[in-house]
This record gives sequence, structure tokens and C-alpha cells, in this order.
Amino acid sequence: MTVKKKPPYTVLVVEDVPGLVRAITAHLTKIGCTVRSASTVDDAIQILESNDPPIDFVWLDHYLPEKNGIELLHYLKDNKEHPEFASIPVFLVSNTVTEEKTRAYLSLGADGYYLKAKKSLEEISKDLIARIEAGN
Amino acid sequence: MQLRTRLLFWFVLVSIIVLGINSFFQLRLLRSSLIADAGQQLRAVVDLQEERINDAVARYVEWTRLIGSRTQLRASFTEYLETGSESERDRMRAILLDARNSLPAIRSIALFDTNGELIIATDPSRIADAPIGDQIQIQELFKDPDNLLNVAITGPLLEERTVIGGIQVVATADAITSITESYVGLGETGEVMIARQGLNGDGLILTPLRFDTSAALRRGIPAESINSLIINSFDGDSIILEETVTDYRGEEVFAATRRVSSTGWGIVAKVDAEEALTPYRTAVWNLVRDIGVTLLLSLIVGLVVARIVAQPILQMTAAAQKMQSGQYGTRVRIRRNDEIGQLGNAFNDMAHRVQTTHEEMEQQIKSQTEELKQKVAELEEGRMATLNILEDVEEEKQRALAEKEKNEAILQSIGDGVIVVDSENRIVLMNDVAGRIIGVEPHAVVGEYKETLFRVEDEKTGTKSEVVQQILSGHEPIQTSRTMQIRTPDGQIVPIAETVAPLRDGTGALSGAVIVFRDVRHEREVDRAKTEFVSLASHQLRTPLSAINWFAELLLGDDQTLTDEQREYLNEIYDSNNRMIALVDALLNVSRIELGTLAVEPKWTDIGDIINKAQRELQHSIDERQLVFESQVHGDVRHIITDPQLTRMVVQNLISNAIKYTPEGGRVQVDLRNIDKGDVIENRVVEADGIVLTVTDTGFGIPASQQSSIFKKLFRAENVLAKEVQGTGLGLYIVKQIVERNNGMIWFQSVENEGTTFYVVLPVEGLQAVEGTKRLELS
Repeated sequence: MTVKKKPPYTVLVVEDVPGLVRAITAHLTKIGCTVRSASTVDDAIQILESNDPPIDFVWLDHYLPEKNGIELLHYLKDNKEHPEFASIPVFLVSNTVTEEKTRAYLSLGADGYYLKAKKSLEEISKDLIARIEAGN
Repeated sequence: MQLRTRLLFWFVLVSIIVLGINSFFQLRLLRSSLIADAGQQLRAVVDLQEERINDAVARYVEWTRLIGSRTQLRASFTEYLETGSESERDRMRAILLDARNSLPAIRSIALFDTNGELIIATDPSRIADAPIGDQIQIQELFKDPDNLLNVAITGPLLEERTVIGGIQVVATADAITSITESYVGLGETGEVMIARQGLNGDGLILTPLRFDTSAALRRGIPAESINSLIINSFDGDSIILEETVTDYRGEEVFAATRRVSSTGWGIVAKVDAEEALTPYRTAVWNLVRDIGVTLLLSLIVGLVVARIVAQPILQMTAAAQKMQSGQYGTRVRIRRNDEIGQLGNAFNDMAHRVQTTHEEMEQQIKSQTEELKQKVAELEEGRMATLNILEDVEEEKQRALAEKEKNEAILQSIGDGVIVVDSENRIVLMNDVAGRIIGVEPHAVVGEYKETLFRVEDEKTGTKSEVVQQILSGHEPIQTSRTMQIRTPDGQIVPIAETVAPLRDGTGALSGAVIVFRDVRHEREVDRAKTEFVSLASHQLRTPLSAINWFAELLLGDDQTLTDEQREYLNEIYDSNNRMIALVDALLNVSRIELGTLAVEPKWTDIGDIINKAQRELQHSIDERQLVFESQVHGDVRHIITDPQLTRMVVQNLISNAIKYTPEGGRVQVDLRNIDKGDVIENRVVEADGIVLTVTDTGFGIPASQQSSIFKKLFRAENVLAKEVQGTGLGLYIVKQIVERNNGMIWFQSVENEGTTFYVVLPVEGLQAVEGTKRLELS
């Protein structure tokens, strides 16, 4: 990762289950992040394009209404209008872990992959912040 | 036609022809001479009558001249013209009356001066309106009030060659009409007609006609009817018309005409053709009669001749027919010395020879037939024997055919594609399903090399499959995983699953290979749908579990407001939730195994390594329960081809079970070693080289009564349930499934409250790759 990022981080959480969004937001806020959330890919794109505030990393679910997580990843990593989006780290936090899917996400440039039910919020957040900071 | 009829026919025919030709010429001659005679006769008539008319005219002229030339009359006439003396007039009257009375034919005499004024007339009422010319001539024909035909003759009165006046004599026309009223020499229908020509060329009949007595001076003939006899007659000298013409009655007539020289009239003599030709018709009838008689005679003569000639021939014909039907003794009786007699004799000779020859031949045929019958009987025997053999062969053939048809029907009814190749890899048989998948006509490709027809290749690498070659070089049956595809002649790619087995003949020698394959396109679609479902289900099940987990985590993170009791309860919730997650994982694994969607990726694997990793992961539990854990690897344990992730599941399950179900202070031992084909372990013969893994504990053991159920899904032994040890009841079921996938064996020895030993044997090459999208959920 070549992007320089420092806390406090602004996180875009893309998750369609409201309960999970609340839990994630509560936790991330507690550890000092600013959270913006979107329940669909299109909402997420709107937030990203508004650039207010600039997003430091994306917490992304796979199964979303209409478009899925891979499409947002495509948008970020292969965007001619906003080439700067390619450097935003993306972490997939999903409950469907198949080899195929994992491979697809990683090959498209996702920075991490976590299985929701198997990991505590603390485990996930610690790991991904460690990765971001390692990237710094 | 019979001979007799034919003879008769010709005889009569010849007679008819001869008679016919003869009669034809004779009649023609007769007809033309009749016509010529009639013509001559008619001509003679017109010539004669013309002369008579001339005579009559001359007589009338003569009378007039004589009257006009009387000296006394001329003198009185001159005197009267000069003086007008009545006495002179009386004198003239007396002379004229005398002249009139002297000739009964004269009806009136009149004198005119040079201006045409009447001077004197014997009978003024009878004066005709006729001009007076420079010589005496008949000027007019007319009918008087008594309807009698009169002539008016006029001429000049001369005195010393000087014209002093004119004279008119009216007389009856008897001299002329008597000519036409005489039919002498004219037969029943002949007549003479006299006509004069008007200024416009039209003709006018002057005298009564034989068949129209009122025609005189009435019947006119227009000048333009040029075929009219009358119009012809004005032309000149006598003419005989050689063909018939139609007269005023419409009858066909022969005629002759001429001009009357003294008056310019026309004269016609004619006779009906029918009358003129009466002798001809009589001759025709006579001839017909003669021909009839002649024919009758020739018929009689012909019959006689035919009988003379034909009778013996008919006799011989009958005899010959009899001989034909086999009566060879037949002879004819013809007693004549002519050629027919000779013919009869020759016939009898011939009949005699035929009879003797026939008798000889019959004898010969009889003996030869006997011989032939014998030979036929022999042949029949041979034929029957051959037929029996053929029948047997046919039966055998039918049996073989039925067997072949049965086999083909079986092959055709198999839902999979079946191809049989010979040892040269040429197609011997292909069923319809195979033909359909490859896109060829099964019967059309028999004998072709399989390799030239289509290609089987690895789906991922595209390398050509060598499976059939392996079988043909002696390999055991091979079942390929679903990663092969067929490239058909028209370039289609069809994913298939195939099994190739060697084909051996009766002696066990390799004679080819049988390839059974199926199109897995549809299966793949179903697989994809199933996978998608499981994937979605796992997501849906886990989402609420994740929420519980994460909210419990958030609560547990708040260490200020929670009481100890609350924290304990929250921990229970958190642990239970995690067990729930484990259960969901296990269920997902089971469903993947059972659906066949579990991906299997065999690779060379070190089981020892897996044991070490499992030990590390479980070290926390080992320590917690204060167990003795011993792991022993005997010698250089071989690597095996297996899926490391699946094998890890097996190892981890067995070790974690041993830990879970062993009381504190107990012992868990793991042992790994090589094992070879034929080795016996626990009374079980090992079928292939591989490894054996044993996991032994000093735990609760499995009650003997429940040992048979231990590998069943969701089964948990009663003794462990009582001890409240957590478990899903799915672990051993999954383990057994995986071991069996590896073609391995798993079993155990257990004594309740003493401990349990699990044995796992895995062959070196036991696992087939399986394409699938799912990996196991790992704990």
C-alpha cells in the first residue's frame, strides 16, 4: 500500500443489515474512527464521489441489494474519472467465504478478507488497522 | 379364313372385276354414242325447221309483193292520191278484197301514202302498228283480239322503181306456228322453239311451247342469261350442245340451236336428256342383270372348284390334327391320280413313319424316365440333408442376431454416451446418445479412428486426454473427474464426465476399450444453482449470528456498568452463539459433501505436518484439561495424494474429540506410520500402499450398544451427553465421508470409561479431484 493514512480514520461501511451497521459503527467510533455508512453500492459511490469527508478505507460486505461488493471494488480499482480511488484500501467483511470469492476479491485488489461470524469486531478492526498502518 | 372360303372369295372377286371393267367401258361408249346421235338428230331438226321458216317467210313476202305489184291497184292508188276520187278508192278496195279473199290466211290489207297516212284498208280494225321499210319483210308478230298469232308484212309500193306508198298485209302466223307444233322426230319431250331478239338483246318466245302454250310473245328471256338456249340461238349457224343444259322447266335437256337466216330469229331443238338416254338406262339395267347372273354362276363354279381342291386338304388337315392329339394310326382316304392324290399318299407314308418313330421314342423315354426318377430321389435325399443343416445354421444366426439386437437395444437405451473402440482405437460401436453429444451419425463413423473424429481434452489445460491409450496399453478402468471436455468435429465444446474400461474377449485378451461418458452441462447448471443456494443460506444464517456476536462483544467491552452476573450471562450468550456458528458450519459442510459440490484438490501432502499444526491449534485445550499429548511419527512417513484441507479436518476432528472426551489428567496419543499393500492391521487387509493414523485416548469411551451409530449424522452418545460436553454430532460423519473419498478406511476400538482408539488408513493415491466451488468451513 502506498497511501499515507493517519488516524483518526474515516471509514466507509457498506453493509445492508441495519443491526450490523450499528454494531460496526459503535465499535469503530469507540476506537476513534469516523464512520460513514451506505446500504447499497450506489449510496457508497455517492459518498465516495462527494469526497466529504475523504474516505480512508472501506469496510465492505459482499451480498448487497442490487449490486454486490465486487462491483464496488471494480468501481474503486478501475476508475478513470477518479484514479485516486484505486489507493483506498478495501476490506471485505462477509459471511460467505468461498475460495473462489476470496480469490476474486484479492485479485481485484482487496486488502483483506474476514468472515463476520468467526471474528469479533475487535479482531477485525485491530487487524485491518494494523494492515493500514503497516502500509503507511 | 378357311381354304374353301378363300378360293370362293377370289373366284367371285375376279369375276366381278372383269365384268365391272367391261361394263364400265361399254356403258361409256353407249352413252357417248347416244349423246352424239341425239345431237345429230336435233341438228337435223333445227336445220330442217329453219328452212321451213324461211319458206314460210318467203311465202308471206311473195303474197305481199304480188298484191302490191298489181298494175290496176297502183294506177288507182296514184290517181286517188292526185284526185282523191272516190271511184278510184272503190276500185282499190275491190282489188284488195279480192286479193284478201283469194288467200284464206290473209286477214287484212292496207295501203299508206309516203307519209305513212292510211289510204285504204280492207279491215281497218286489223291494221298493225308496224313500220314500213324499203323492202318487203315481216315487221311484226302479234296477237289479234281472238288471241290468234298474226304476222304483219310491210313493204313499199313501187311505180317504176319509185316509192309511191306503202303496203301492209296481216296474215295468220299458221305457217310458222305449224313448224313448232309439229313434234315429228322429237319423241315424247322434244320440241322446237322460235324466238326473236329485242333491241336490248333480250329474247322473246314467238310461238307456243309444248309445255307452255301461252308462252308466245309473252315469255321473255333476259339477255344476261347467257346459258339460255334461246340467247345462244341468235348467234349463228347450227350448234350442237354436247352437254346437257337446263331448259325453262328446269329439266336437263340436249339441244341444238341456230339462227334463222331470213328473219334473224333463233331456233332451238331440244329433247329431255332422260328421254335421249333411255336406251342407256335400259342397257345399264341389262348389265346389272347380266352381272348378277354371272356372279351366281361364278359362285356355283367356285364352290365346285373349292370342293374339288379343298376337300382332300380338309381331310388331311383333320388327319394331321388327330395325329397331333396322339392318334398316330390315322390315315387319309384319297383315291385320285392327280397331285392331290399323291399328296394323300405322301401324307399316309409320313404318318406311318411318325407312328413307328413315336413308338420307339416312347420306349426309350420310358426307360430313361425310370433312370431319372431314381436320380431325382437321390438328389431329394441330399437336398433334405442340406436343408436340415441350413435350418440349424439359420436358427443359430437368428439367436446371434437376437442377442446382438438385445445388446444394441441395451446400449441404445443407456442414457449415457457409449463408444466401443478396438485395440487400434477405431470406433466399433457408438450409441445414439454419444452420436448426439459429438454431433455425428453413429452408424456413419464405425471404423473411423476415434482420434480423427473428436478430441477429449483437459478442460483447464486443453491437453489431450490419454485415458483411452492408457486403457489400451493395459491400465485398469479409469473414471475421470468432471474436468474433461469433448471438442466435436464442428468445433463445439461439451464438458463431459467419462469412464473408460478395457474390453476383453472370451480369452481375456484386451480387444479394445469401452468409453462411457455423459454431457455434464446440465449437471453443472444444477450444481451452480445448489452452490448459490448454500452460499446464500450460509449468509442468511450467519448474519443474525454475527449481529449477536458483535453486540455481545460490545457489551462485554463495557467493563463499567455490567455486574458479574450479567457478564456471566453475556458470556453464555456469546459462547452459545459461537457454538451455533460452529453448528451452522458443520451443517454447511455436510450439505456440501452430500451435494457433491465440495471442491477436492488432491496434492502431495505430509500428514505429519497436518498433525503438528492441529496440535498447535488445540494446545490451548490440551493445556486447559491438563492432558498428556503424545505425537509419534514412525520413520520416514511417505507423503500421500490427498486434499490437505480435508485431511486436516479429519486429523483435527479426531484429536479434538479425543481431547474433549478425555477427563482431566488423561492421555491422548497420536501415531503415524507407513503401511503397505497386503499388510494386516486389526484383522483388516490393506489394499494399497499408504499410511495409517491412530488417535488413542483414555476417555469416556463409546458404549458398546451405541458403537454402530457413531458415524451417523447428528448422533451423540448418551454418556457424553450426560457429561454436557459440547458437540454437533456431525464431526465423525464428516470425517468418515472424507476418509471414504480418499478410498481409505476408518474404524475404532472403544471400551466405555477406558478409552477409544480411532484408526484411519489412507492410500497413497486414493483421491480423485472434484471440481466444486465449496471448500469446507473450518473451525
